[in-house]
Amino acid sequence: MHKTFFFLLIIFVPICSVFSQEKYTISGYVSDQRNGENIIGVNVYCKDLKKGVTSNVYGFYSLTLPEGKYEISFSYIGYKTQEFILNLDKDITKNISFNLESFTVGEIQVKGKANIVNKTQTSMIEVPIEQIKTIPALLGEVDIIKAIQLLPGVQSSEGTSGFYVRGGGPDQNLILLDGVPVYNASHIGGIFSVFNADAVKSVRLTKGGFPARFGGRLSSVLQIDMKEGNSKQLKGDFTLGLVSSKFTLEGPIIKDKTSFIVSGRRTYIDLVAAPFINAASDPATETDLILYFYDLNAKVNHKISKKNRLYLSAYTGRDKLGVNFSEDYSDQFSVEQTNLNFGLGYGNITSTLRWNHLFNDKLFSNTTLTYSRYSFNTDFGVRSTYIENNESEIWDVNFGYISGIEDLGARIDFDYIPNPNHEIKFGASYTNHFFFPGETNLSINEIQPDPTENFSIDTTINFSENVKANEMYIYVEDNLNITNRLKANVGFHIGIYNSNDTSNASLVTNIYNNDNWSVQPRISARYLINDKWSLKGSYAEMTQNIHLLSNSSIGFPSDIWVPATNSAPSQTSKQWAGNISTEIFNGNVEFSLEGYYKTMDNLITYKAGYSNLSSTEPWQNSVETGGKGESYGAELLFQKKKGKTTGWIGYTLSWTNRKFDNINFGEWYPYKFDRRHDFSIVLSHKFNDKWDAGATWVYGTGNAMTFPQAIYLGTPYNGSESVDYIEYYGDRNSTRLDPYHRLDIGFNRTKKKKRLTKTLSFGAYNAYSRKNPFFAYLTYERGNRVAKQVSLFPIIPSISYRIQF
Amino acid sequence: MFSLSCSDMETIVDLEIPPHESMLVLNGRLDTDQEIKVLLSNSVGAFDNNRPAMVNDANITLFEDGVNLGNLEIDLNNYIAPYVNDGNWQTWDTLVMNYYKINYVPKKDKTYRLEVRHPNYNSISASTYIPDDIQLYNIEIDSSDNGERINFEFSFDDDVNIENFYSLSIDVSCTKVWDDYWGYEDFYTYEGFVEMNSNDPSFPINNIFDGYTYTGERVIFNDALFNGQQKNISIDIFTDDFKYDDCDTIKFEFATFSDDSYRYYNSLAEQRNNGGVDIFGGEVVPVYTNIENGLGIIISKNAQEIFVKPN
Repeated sequence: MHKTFFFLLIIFVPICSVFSQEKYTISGYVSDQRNGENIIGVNVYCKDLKKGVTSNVYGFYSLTLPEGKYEISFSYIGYKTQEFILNLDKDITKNISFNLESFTVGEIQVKGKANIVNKTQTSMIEVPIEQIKTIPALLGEVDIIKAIQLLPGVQSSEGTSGFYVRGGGPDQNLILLDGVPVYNASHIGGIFSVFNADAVKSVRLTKGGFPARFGGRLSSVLQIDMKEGNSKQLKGDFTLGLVSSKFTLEGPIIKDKTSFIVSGRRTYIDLVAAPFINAASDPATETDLILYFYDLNAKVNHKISKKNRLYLSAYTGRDKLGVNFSEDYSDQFSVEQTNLNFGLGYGNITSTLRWNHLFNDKLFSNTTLTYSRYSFNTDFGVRSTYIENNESEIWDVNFGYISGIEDLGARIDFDYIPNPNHEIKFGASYTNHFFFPGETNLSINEIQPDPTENFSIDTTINFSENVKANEMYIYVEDNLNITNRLKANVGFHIGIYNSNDTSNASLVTNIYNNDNWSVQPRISARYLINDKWSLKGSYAEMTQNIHLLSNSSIGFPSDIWVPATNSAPSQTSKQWAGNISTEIFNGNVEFSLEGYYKTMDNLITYKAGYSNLSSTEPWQNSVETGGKGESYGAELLFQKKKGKTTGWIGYTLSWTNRKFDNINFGEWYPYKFDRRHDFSIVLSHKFNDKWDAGATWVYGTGNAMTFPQAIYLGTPYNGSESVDYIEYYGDRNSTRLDPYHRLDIGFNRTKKKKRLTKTLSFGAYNAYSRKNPFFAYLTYERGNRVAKQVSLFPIIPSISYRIQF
Repeated sequence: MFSLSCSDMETIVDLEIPPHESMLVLNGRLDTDQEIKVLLSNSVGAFDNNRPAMVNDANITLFEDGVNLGNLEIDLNNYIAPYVNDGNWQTWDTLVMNYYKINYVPKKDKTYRLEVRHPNYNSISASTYIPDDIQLYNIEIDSSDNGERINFEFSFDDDVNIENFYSLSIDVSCTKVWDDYWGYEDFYTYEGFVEMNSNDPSFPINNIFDGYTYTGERVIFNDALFNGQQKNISIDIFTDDFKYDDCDTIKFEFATFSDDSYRYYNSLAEQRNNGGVDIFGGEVVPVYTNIENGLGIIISKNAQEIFVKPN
């Protein structure tokens, strides 16, 4: 530990030294003139000194220069560049409102951050929300996670909204909605994601080269920031779709000071299906189907003063699946009534309270309080009433199960920009996790005509104990210009963790135990070969203190989050990445080639044969621990952000393997989502002011799975009665499913009127109806053993109608 | 929507599975109370039109603690013809199987090795160890609970040097005699295994509602929680109609398995219970084999019978 602090001292102390010449600071916020939304990543650049900074996630920038007269430019792709001659003889506060750049009819210009060549960070992709909205989607539901799955280095599986980044599991992605972790990002078991694109401002995915401010997961950080709400005027957006409808309303509460946004979505498959179900039912029975999801986003932000802003945001979403069935039967002697219900639900609740405070023109802080809860529950009930001779017998049985995780957190982040050569970020975070991995309630009530025969039981069973865990970290990083060509981001992330599984003592009393500490160095560097080419490299160590117990064949909402314990310690990873980037075709196309190598330790997985849907074992008895993982590969990305046609082409060549002592005889085996080739084309084309179209085509090597390779005879039972054919599976995941490929297309016709903009969207998911493999199994067909493949989605057309005002 | 899609979207496909070269499959159980006999067959590819067949012209040699005891000979005069279960009981054929035999009864606390050679297959081999006897002591029987619940307690010492696997069952023979409505003597007899109930932490958990964590007729457990220590076991038996005095025979069948036996039966049961490849289940469980360069299992067991009645 002492060595670490000494090293930090050496790196960061020079920042504060030797500023002999008088310096002044220009600082402020950058926002969009149309709606007042802060803009992230605006380049603020002094051409004379060739020095610059970018605005942070709250739109704040600070540029400190020696006294003098300079031309300062503010630029951001898609907006008009603004240039000012400033006489810097004192500190200046300058808030900038950006206007959209005018462009020729039919041209798309995706708004985005600084070009890929100049960025220091490797492995980070920002997908502009405007571009996400142009990507054709399943049933027309614009889906952020599905768009992320199209990026190089991200693997996915048909029908799931989980994603696998550089060989990591779905639990190794930190999904942050306005800074709050979201533990399950899927609706309807993964067909849709929980994020309503209409309420989202920006989406950034970091796959490696993690800056020190990030921690807690091994493989990626997906930051999704909600809009703040239009502070200029009231705006609305309504979309009517085949399976769902949604609305967004945003506007000022106090113009330019306080604004709000509310956005909601609900599906109505159950309402559409209800008449058909009842028409097909027996008249003596009644069946109610419950099948829907909803989500609701809300945010209020208030500018208290020039130096203080408050943001309050919340999200709630839930999936509900259930059946209520009732049956009545009566004759001249008796009446019998049976009610049966089954229900399943899961969802997230998150909320964030943020306070932005400007200490001075160089030091910015953000204090955040967060709450996040994910829960999954099932319930089953039967009530039977039998009446005969005015005497009744009643049976009432109810079964319920709930599991989940609840977090309370607080963090503070500082941005300190002493001069253009240093952008220092430092801060601290504390999270209290409460894991409830499975609680079952059972109640049985039997009421008989003779009260002495009544029976009643009401019990709660915890198959796995509830656990509390404390997680804290501090970090410091500096984005420093070493020379005009060489820039680096150097930092440390220091974490401390304990759970009451490992000790009843609090975090404070455990602070001196070295086993609870993790020191995670992070470094990224960029070298400008010339104005158009750059080389980048990064190294990051990560620690993850929670595990997701998931069946390996498919992720379910019932998957359980559990804490790291002595028997299943925290997961760790080390990742190296190298990158070469350039801009071609006059800066219209960005090109990036990146290689990476990642190792992972202390992975866990369910024991072979274990199913969390049927077991009553405590989770600790059901897992293999101490697993290792490795992943390496190369990712290629061409991205076009300007012109009539925009989009990207991504290609990934990768290998991903796992090793557990008790799986595959202790030998390395391919991870289920090991995918040798992964290719995607995403295109949007604007024909004119009325018509635009989008298309995506994806191709991926088939998933790896364990499949019978041979059969042989076992030992006869009881000497001679029967004998088994036993299936021989060979190595784990040694069989490949067929490759996956799919074309999605979509068209939009937009009609702009004075106050309203109406858009009719139609398209098709899986346009050539490829039967993509979701799963395969061995079966008999006319006496022969054959492999059968199950596919999920044939061609699925969609249509929706959107009105904006 | 999900199920509709699935039902319409099933297709037969050619999967890219690694090619399978047929291997010898050796199966046999070495018990301390019978002569050694084994079965030899071959494996076939998963989509092969042929079925696994017996291999009756191989050369099989037996070793005891490294000493060659001679060859096993095929017995073509006797056979068994069991029904063949492909896992789903899709086939109901019987298969004629001939044993390779040697006139030798294996002994406890010995290691046996079988080597198999055949010109058309890679040579295979297997080893297994037959565990030593286990002494049970402090056997106590409490039938004071109105005779409806009998509690058995006993102890044994676990060998610290070996990873031990045990099985326990209780076999009884009981006869209840009573006078019927007309005063004639009537009786009812039960012979077989009885259901045991226990909260022993080493036993598998298969029951949570009756105040016991384990209920069953045969329990298999290992020494992971008591390696090298004295182990005390307590079992309750609910007698229903029978009382302790109604039984003339009560015996413990207490067996010590080889590690191979435990792993084989456990993995086979788990593969069967999980139904092989299954989208909603976990990963498939490969059936354990201790055959080098081949498939199958050579297992061993030292079974003891401890009579509580008559003692």
